[in-house]
Amino acid sequence: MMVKNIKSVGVLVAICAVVALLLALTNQITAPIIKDNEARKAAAALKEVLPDGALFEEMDLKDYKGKLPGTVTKVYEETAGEGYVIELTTKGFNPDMVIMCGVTPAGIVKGAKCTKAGETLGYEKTYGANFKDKDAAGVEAVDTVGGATMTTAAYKQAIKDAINTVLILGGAEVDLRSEEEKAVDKMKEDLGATEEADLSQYALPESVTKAFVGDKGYVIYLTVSGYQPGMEIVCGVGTDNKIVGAVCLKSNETNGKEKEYGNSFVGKDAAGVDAVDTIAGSTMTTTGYKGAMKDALNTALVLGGEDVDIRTPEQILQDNLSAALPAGEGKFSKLFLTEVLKGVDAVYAADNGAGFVAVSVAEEIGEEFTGEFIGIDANMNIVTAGSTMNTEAALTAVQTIKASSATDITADLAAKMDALLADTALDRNLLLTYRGIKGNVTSVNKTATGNYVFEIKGAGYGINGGDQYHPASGEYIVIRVSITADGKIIDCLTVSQKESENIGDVCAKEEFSSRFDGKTEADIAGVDGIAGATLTTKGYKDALLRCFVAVQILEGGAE
Amino acid sequence: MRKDSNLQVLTKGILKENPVLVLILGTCPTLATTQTVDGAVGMGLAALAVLVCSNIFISLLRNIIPDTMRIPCYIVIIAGFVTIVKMFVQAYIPTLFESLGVYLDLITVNCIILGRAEMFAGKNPVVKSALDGIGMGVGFTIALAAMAIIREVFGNATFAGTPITFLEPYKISFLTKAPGGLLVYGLLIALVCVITKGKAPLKKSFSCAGCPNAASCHTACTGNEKGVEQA
Repeated sequence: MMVKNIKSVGVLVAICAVVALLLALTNQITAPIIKDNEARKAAAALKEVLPDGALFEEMDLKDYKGKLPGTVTKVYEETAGEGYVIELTTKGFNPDMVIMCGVTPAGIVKGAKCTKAGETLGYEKTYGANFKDKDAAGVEAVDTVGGATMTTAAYKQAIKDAINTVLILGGAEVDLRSEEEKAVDKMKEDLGATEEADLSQYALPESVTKAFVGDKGYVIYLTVSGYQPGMEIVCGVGTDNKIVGAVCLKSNETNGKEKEYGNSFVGKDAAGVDAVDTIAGSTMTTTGYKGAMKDALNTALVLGGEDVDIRTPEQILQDNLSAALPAGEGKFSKLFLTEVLKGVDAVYAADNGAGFVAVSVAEEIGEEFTGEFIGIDANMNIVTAGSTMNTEAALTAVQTIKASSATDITADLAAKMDALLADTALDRNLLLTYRGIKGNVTSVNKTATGNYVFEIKGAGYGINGGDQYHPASGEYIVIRVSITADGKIIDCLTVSQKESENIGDVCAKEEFSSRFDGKTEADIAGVDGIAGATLTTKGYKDALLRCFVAVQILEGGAE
Repeated sequence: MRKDSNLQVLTKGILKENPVLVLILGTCPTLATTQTVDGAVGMGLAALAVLVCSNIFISLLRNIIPDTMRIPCYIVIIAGFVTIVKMFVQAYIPTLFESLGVYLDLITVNCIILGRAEMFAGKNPVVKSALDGIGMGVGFTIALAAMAIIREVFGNATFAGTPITFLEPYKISFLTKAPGGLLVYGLLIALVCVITKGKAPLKKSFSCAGCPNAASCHTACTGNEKGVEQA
């Protein structure tokens, strides 16, 4: 049996050996021919972008390490001196856009083709044709395509890199710095800012990544978020604390406005920066840029030895609340107000039940507007007092809040709406309004003092919007609003929303909802909306207007 | 067992026992490579070369390869010849190599090759095995070519890549897709049935004594054999 098995295995091994020998012989004959075929195939692809070329050899780039543009991955030299084919990898809207570009030794582009990309709009497939027979100046003059800026700008830069590569291979001295990098280097030179500061010893805004100090000013690098994160801005600030220059070095923004926006801030101080308008259609980009400018000015003051409060408004608020009621342990929630409070803007409750902090209405003291933070413990004892008037107002406010009660009148409103909707002769606009109230008011309560608290759904982008890039969520904005019987908003809060990220979802912030505090029905139209979020703003405002109509109905007068 | 003459061995694979249209073997490459005539003929000829070479080799070694090792040995031989054919095609006909793609390698597991090695080459002398390989290979190529002509001419209005302009308005694109391929395949099988008057190849019967697995088969050992009919 053992002998039989050994014989079987032996036969198999022998057959394997013979087959391997035959394969080796075949390989000996065919390998050079196959290699030649592959070379011809590769040459055919390279000839597409350098038609006058015949045979190509891939160059060993180790002698040029660090000297060629970062996008260059391979260089093929045409053996008869017709030029080079350069393979570049760059990032358009999506990463890994691979471009082959044929360039003559004189720097003329003979062809460009994108061999690998997946750009959303597909411009990389055809854009290369614009560069045929162009030199560097001609390439610069080719326009990018609106709406596909990232793709075509990256493509154009890759072509410039290809030309520069050929010039470097030809022995020329080429400045590979981008225009932005040149501008930053000039700023550093003008301000004498050659020494990098050790930032660890300073309390600086989070956006600051590095800073250079000079005898005439500072060059500060910042990274902020615009529409996309990762917008890198360099700002030069003189010793007079005015901006001398601002350049966006790197960004993922889609509209390209950040490239020129920095020019708007030259010569401006802090007040001047505040006065610079954002750009409609690029609000998030330009708001982020403006924030970077303010951070740069504050950083320059700190580096110059000045005492600057670099805290964000949220940080300042939390610090003030903690100072007013230390027992609150830094965790406070803003109370939704259902009563009109005299002399008090807002009331915060400590999450641990330690008490309240009432913020008095801001008053003008000298040139500053400020409110006082008055801390009251759970037993209604003053922990941190303000002026006599404000302290009394704070105590009254907290007592009012604690004593406030409300009754659910949702069913009453529903009955009233049914009665109104039964009228078949209703005006169409009224019909739509009443249906809107009936369908979207999820609850209404009436306080003992006669105010109304609504919870209502608003149809924003989540319901009425949607496209291939920003699909609609299918969800309503849920708003809580308290309104007096005579039709004035006491407080407004966004309970939940699923609007577009970084655009409509701004409606969740208190900065937006608080714009409606103290407003009447007639004022709503004039309240600033959210830039770039028309549907969200409209849905929000329509919901509030319905609440005003509902108040009128509940007070006994139909619209 | 009835012995076929050399001529019968050579010709049976063309129609009477056509591997694709009668024995229904090698369906995958049949459907995949018959969208163009040149691809189909190339595939057929590549399979023919492998079939002939492997049949000859296996027939030469039939008395040396032990029963228990025959399948691994056959596979090694077939795979070796497929690789050799692939290298020659890649070197001398690179366009065919590109168009056949992975289906060239898949000849290794083509049922026709292993089937003929097992059913014929492993039991017959070299000349007959070679003739069987040629016959089956030619039958395979003819079947593929017939399918490809129908699919490419009527489905794409081209023949081996050359446009047939007068057919362009009437082309039935469906024929170039998988469902169309299956339809054409089925219709060709039906046509061959009609031509051969529906006669299946002659049935043969043999006892367990003739079965290569007799030594390990329970039925053979207990003597509870029936006459086994083989198509």
